[in-house]
Amino acid sequence: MFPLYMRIISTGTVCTYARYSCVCLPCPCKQVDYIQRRGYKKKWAKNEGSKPHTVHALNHMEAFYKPVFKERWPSIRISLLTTSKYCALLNNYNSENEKVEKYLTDLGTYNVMEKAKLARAKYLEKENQQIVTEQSSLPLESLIDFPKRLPHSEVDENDDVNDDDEDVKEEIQPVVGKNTSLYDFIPTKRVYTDKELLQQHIARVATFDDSLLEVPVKVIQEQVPELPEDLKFFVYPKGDISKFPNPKMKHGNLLGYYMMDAASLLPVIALDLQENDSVLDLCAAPGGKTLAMLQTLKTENLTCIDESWSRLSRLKDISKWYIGETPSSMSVSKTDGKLLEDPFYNKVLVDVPCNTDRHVLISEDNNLFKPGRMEERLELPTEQMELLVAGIKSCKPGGTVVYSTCTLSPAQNDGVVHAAMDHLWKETDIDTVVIDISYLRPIFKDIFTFFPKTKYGQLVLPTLSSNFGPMYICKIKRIR
Amino acid sequence: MSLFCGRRLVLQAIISPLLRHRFNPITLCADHPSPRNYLQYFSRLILQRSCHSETQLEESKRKWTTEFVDSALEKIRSEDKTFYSVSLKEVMKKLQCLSSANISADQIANLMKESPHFLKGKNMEPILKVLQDQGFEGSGIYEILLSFGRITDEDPTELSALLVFLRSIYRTDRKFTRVVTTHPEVLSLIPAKINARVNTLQDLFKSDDVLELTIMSPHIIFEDMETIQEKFDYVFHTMGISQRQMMYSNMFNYSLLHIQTRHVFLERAGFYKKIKKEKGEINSNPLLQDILGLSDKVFAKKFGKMTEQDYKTFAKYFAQEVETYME
Repeated sequence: MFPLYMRIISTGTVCTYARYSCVCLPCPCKQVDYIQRRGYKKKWAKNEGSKPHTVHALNHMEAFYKPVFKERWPSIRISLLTTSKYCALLNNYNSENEKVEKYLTDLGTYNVMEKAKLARAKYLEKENQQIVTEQSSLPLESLIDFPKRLPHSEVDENDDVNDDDEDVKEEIQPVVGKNTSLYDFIPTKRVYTDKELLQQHIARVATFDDSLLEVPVKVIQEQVPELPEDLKFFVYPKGDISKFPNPKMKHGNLLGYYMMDAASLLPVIALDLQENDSVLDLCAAPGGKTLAMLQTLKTENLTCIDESWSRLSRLKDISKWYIGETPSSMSVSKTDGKLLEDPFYNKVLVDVPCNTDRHVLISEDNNLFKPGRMEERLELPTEQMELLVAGIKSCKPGGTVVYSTCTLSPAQNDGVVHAAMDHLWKETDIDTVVIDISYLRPIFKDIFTFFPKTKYGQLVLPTLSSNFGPMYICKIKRIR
Repeated sequence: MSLFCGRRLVLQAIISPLLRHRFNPITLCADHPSPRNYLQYFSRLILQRSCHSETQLEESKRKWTTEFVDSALEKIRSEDKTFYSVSLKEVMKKLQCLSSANISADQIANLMKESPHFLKGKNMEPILKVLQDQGFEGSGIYEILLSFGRITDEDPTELSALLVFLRSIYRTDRKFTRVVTTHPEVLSLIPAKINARVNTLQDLFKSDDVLELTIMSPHIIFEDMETIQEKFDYVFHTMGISQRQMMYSNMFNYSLLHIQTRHVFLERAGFYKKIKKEKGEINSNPLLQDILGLSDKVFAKKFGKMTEQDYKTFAKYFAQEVETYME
């Protein structure tokens, strides 16, 4: 009867007005629920819908990782986008760890370290390794020729150059050449937009070109170290996707095992902890690798530092559930690792923040590829290099530093190692060499897939049947 | 006029004089030509010509000695006690029927081993007669009995009507024979149901394509329509593939999970991307028949140089994801 005018309010209710002759009288709003349009509708949208951050991350990897890994890239890509696999790290601090071990074995898993020890023995037999004595820096120094540093310029007190002497006349040579006047117009060849400049910067940061760096990095071989006797971790066989049940306290007073990526244990194994070592764990939180180091039972002096309180609290929770309390041999502190300089430690683990390739492809939460974190992402390689340099500075001469990341990015792996060496050579008197840890490949070839074309360290590639990693490990020895 | 009727007239015109001349002393129905009789004449002619001697023809019948059949029957009874309801005499009679339908001795032995259910059927002789009337002989009947032994329980009249109906749909012998021999379970349906299914499929495909589809994937006729719709929706909407590709891929022969697993595998490995035609994107996706039809080993190697174990592991992960999503 009366024409109705419908006004749609953004909250999702429909308000009806009835018009009586020429007067508009609002009727009480009839609340009619309707499904509010969500998401992007092309014909009404002003701007094209934004892609999820995970898609940005994937596009980034397609652009920068695919040319590096080539025919391996499809396998890596699908593995990163599929559920990852876990191992169960046995908790030696549990009073009934033997029962836990049996329980894990009954699930159909096996202890990787047992197989690795056999593989190590076979590998040594095959290679017929010569023992290289590992002594102090002095004998090794004599074997290695380090590139000569440029002499530092020093201020000389007797230097007369800076004297203000008006009698000294300088000979001014005439400038010869074209276009020397500042008033000459030189047209620009190309103007880059902000976006293009940003893209160039991203490309520079994401790629590793060792030809641009000046110092040659030495890589030496050492005797294959013994595997940690007490470190045990269990995995399901290749192709088996069974999951570990959540650890409970049915065996003993502490949790029986800790679930983590098996590839994360390789840095701890490479570190080769010995009794009486003083160990520094830079960027310790959330604490998986710290717990693994504690499981070797060779951590009489362990220092854990991290920049973030919230992450350190997770580390403390882990010690509470697995050790019972923070052990007296372990100290935890909130410190910026980049500021460390004093060489107090024999062994240093530098597990730096990185792209976290798995996380950025799966989770939108706090994704590194969101626009608000772009600056942080672009500064990552610099931060990583500074942390590694600090770790090396904190290491005593003769000690070792293990650098690890969980990304496939060559710029954040070999690139950072090389940049750190370059920095140390130019700015300090510290000499370092990279230790060849390719022995990890034949020892763990049944469980991990390694990328054969890394320059300094070893890189674990994720594959579908063995979906661990990615993990990059590089071992550096400080000579002096 | 259907092709079959035309062929009958040709046979009458060309062969009957020959057959009357050649087989008059042997045949009983030379004075009453009918399609069945001509087919019988033809089959005997071919059999005679294929046998190197008369004795070979006799040998194929001689194999069915009482002792042999008894021992075979005992073996069947040891596995399934319901076969005690079938007597040795009945079995001998049925095997003779099969022999006269030009099924070889080896094929009959294989039938008894793989699909002995036909022995229990009450209507074996009339069913065989109906099949022969429709032009099935030898290996055609063997294929039908191997896959669908319970056909001997069907009503011969209804079966005859159904076969005539199927002939009217498929028109050519090749298509008709292919549908019936590859999926003889279609013979358990009624014409009305087949008609209804064909009409429903015409909502998704063109009329000509529907028939072609039922030849390539005959079980589309008796599969649950909801399942067919799910597969169609996934391939059409999610994968963005047209009906033309669906025709050549036999996609309805595979389960929805298989289709999804293969598609998601390719998508995550970077080999598949849904094309937006309005944006002018070029389709570089692999063909649906390659996506679905290749074996696991070849598929994994072709798309990403992965191993069969990798693919099977992915299939397990994906099945788990689907299960979790459904919950």
